[in-house]
Amino acid sequence: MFPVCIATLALALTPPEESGCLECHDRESAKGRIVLEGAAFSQHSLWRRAEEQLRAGLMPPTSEPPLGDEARKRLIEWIGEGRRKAFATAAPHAPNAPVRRLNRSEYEACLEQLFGSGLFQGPGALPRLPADDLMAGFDTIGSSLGVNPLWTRLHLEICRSLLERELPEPGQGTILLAAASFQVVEGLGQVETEASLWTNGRLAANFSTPSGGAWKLRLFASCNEVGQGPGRLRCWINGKAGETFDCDASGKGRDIEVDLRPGENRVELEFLNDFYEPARKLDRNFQLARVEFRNAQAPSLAAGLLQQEGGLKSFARLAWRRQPAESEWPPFAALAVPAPGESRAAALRRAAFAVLAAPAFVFRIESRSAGLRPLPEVELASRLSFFLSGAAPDEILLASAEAGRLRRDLKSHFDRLVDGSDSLGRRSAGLGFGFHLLEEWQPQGDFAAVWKPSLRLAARRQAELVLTDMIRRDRPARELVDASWTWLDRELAQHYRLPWSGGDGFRRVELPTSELRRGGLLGTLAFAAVTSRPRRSSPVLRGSAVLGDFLARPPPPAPPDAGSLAESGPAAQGNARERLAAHRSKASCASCHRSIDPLGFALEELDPLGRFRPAGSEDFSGHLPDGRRIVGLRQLQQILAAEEFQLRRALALKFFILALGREPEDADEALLDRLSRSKSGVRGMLWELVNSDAFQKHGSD
Amino acid sequence: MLDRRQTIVGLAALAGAALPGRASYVSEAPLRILYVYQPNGVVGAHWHHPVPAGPLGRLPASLAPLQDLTSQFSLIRGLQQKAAFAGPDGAGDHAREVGCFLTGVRLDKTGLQAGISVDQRLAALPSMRAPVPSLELGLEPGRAAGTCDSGYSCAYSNNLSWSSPTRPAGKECDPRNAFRRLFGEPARLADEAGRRLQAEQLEAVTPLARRQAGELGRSDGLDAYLASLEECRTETRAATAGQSLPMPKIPIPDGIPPDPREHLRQFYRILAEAFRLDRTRVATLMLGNGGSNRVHHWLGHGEGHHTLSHHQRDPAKLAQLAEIDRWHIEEFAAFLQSLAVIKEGSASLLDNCAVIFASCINDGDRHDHADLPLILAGGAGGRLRPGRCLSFPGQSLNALHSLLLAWAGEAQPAHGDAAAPLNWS
Repeated sequence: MFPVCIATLALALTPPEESGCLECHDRESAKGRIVLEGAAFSQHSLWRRAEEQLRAGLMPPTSEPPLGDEARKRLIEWIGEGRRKAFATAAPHAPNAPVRRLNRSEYEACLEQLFGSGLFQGPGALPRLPADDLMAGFDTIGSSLGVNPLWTRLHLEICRSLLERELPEPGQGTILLAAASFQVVEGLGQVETEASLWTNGRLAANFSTPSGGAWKLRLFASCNEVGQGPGRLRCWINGKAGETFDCDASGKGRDIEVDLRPGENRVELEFLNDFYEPARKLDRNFQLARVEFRNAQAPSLAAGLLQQEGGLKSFARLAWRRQPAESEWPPFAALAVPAPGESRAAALRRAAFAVLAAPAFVFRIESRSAGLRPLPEVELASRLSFFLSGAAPDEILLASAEAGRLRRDLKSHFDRLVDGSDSLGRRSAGLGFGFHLLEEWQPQGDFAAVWKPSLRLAARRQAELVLTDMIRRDRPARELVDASWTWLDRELAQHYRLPWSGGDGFRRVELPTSELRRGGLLGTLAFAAVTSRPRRSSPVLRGSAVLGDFLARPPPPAPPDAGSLAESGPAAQGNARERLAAHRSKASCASCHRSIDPLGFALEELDPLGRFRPAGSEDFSGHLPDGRRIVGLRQLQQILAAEEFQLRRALALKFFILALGREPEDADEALLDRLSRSKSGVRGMLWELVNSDAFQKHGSD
Repeated sequence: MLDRRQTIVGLAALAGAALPGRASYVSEAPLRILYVYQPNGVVGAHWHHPVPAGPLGRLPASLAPLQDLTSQFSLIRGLQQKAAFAGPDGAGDHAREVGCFLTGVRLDKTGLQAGISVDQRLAALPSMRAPVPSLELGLEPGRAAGTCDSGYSCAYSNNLSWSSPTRPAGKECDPRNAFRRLFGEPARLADEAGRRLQAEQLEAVTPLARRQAGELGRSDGLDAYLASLEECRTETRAATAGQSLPMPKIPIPDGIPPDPREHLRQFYRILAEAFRLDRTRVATLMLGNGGSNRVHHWLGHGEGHHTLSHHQRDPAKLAQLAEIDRWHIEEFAAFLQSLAVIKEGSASLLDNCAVIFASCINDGDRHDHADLPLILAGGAGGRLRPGRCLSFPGQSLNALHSLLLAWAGEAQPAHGDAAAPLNWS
């Protein structure tokens, strides 16, 4: 019987007394530590789980008398009604945000906003901070983002090298190579005050540069103007040939654009058309006076700002995501004044270093409110920007917030950020769905030869593009599992054995009806791989991933002695299905595995590399806990697509943690329920989240 | 099971001084302490289970690489870490195996709260003071799968060392960074001016950061940042104090090597040099994060360590696990050997070290945290007489930590559930 205190809530529906829930979940038995007796609907998580268990057919357990379809439906409605009433009266939950350090990806994005992209990749890259400890699967939760001397040392070193590179001493951006630096490496010639070639051949010199990228080579050289036309030269950088060009007798400087790498480089000048007619005393030689290299890169946003009068403060405003306060600014400004004998660049470097070492750069710091109030707009700008684009607010956003127009123009900023960056799609695919694990997944045996680095990157990119597209085009959550489209490039199309006529790069394709299994995320290489062991696919990993990442109902962790399916040896007798069946015969295992296994069996249609196993090669069938039979991926997609609420909830949970940097608490259930229940697409869900009290306000604690 | 008599023999033997016929001697050289941690437990049948208390004889298969070094280490049996057992917290033994190993306290499953780890307590003692207060190394960076372990923050399974109850000390996975921290920036080793400039910048920055943080009010994160800025400043000051840094006799590492074997060897080389040159006196080395699923492909394995560790007594899996155990011991033995050949006065560097190699899980399939596999190598500066198997059934691992604290001069060596050091009198 249901408790009086619940029954007395004025409800249109009453719980069927025969449901029997309280046989086990009364205060006394408290089976599974779940007590429904006397539980008010304001215990949001408790009743949500009860509702989920009923929906999934997991309760009552098989050992108890079954609940009829009609009774089940009425019970679910009764709980839903009660929960919605409790939500309607729930107070807004928007606690003050604790101070939290930028995580690694935010940190790198902030520096790249200021100093240009690609700082942390490729030759000459800056060192990277240690990876962040994840909490609840994400790197946005403040309490897991610690600081220790190791972190700080690297942070300071990154800033120091960056500023040395960006604010060099005057003249450091130019490298001069005198003729004497060259050697004749091919042909005949000599090196004195000028370097000369008398036959076709090459002059070469090694030199080093502080930074790589675009440089301008200025050549001071001449060729005797004899014979037909001018001399022809070719410039080689690091063994790579450039265009050929003419060289006349004037000796005037000539500019050539070259691409240098940081550190050691080699330049070679090749003389291509020696001409010699002793009879007419015609001799064309090549004479080199000197070579200069000038850094041709446009200054970064930060370097540009810092060069201006008073630019340090503008730089600090962007770095700190707010205007420096009058009270705190003077000592920073003082650092930019050169000491006697010190260069202006050195003083600027010191001051800019102090700005980046200041807590206002390293930490996301929000003001605290003693009661529920709207967040100041400048702080809202940071929340919005870090959530939607993974980086600090840009000039447009910051200026709008400083002028107090951010809330008024919120929709246009929202649209600009959602359409302007794929960061949210990337982070959702990475940590949200666990595809960051592709980095370390190493298949073995026959699979290893197929698993090329380019295929791994393409797999990750496909998932990122699917999610980005779902956000941008406001697709319904069900397309996570069942869509008529996907994103492919040539390599993936070939891998999936799909026709390709799209040229290079990724593009969205409509799938033929026979290939709908490839729509959504389940039929992707990325999903198939991260849910596989090195030598086999794993129905258990796959079933668990569907429950946790897609349906927001993660199974509890396996007990320590649960074991795993063997690769080989005596324990590997029988196929995975038979061994799992044996496993399910243990009562302690059955309660979870009857949900996990049927999903995993349907997904066995995919091998570890996301290729379809031929129909009939294995048994892809299973029975869901509610008794429905399910065969293969396509049926699974259709069954999951009907779980719109849970799919939305799974997405809402991920977005919540990315947006607010905390795990949802009981008091956040009202918001999560609203996000999961609404009929909008994914973009609409984000918009709702951004407009919620949890996002817009603070101080409810 | 080991009987009481053996226990008493073991307790007596741990303190060499307490045995007749051996003069009490404590080296004047500094004590150096290292904890090497192997995740996921071991196959006890080839590791510590068959070894009887008393002098070490023929070693089981996984420990066989140490056979030539039996006079240099003790095998310590029977210790347990109670805080790591599930208790009311349920699943999550791999978060706890690492998080509890050196802290000795129960972990907060919903938030982030452990305790100060023994290595960090050691590093704070005057006798252990060195230019780099402590070194935390690991082979696997801090990222991990999903929630890491059953709802625990990944910070637990990724960090042995905790500088405060809420703050892991972090760990360095890049040998180049570890080298740089110990011996200076390679490119700037000779560049006195560069170092001075660095120091000046830090001198200017630290008070500004402190002042700004002061206006923002207190928070754990800000405090930790300010403390670490201060530490960087102290280190840089020391580096510019005039005397040039000692030159290590190892090549400058070039980032994280792609081969994990080379990665580990580089760390062992760095540790040996750090101890030899007295750059640091306390270090931890994590061979993997808790529940590490590294695939030891060089042993021909196709499954990860954690997957294999749930072996369910499958002989094929047990054999592969024993191979992993043995490989770790091979590398460890080579490291001990490298310490043993370095002379320090009339003794060796190893004689002045206490090197612990252990896991905080006994059997990876059962996740039990009792009768932990544990080697204590070195002479601890004359405080130890190695060469035996000692047994302390049911006693706390924290009592061993406490013993190290007492050796290092801690007046209140209680740690975790151990009120006093392992007692042998």
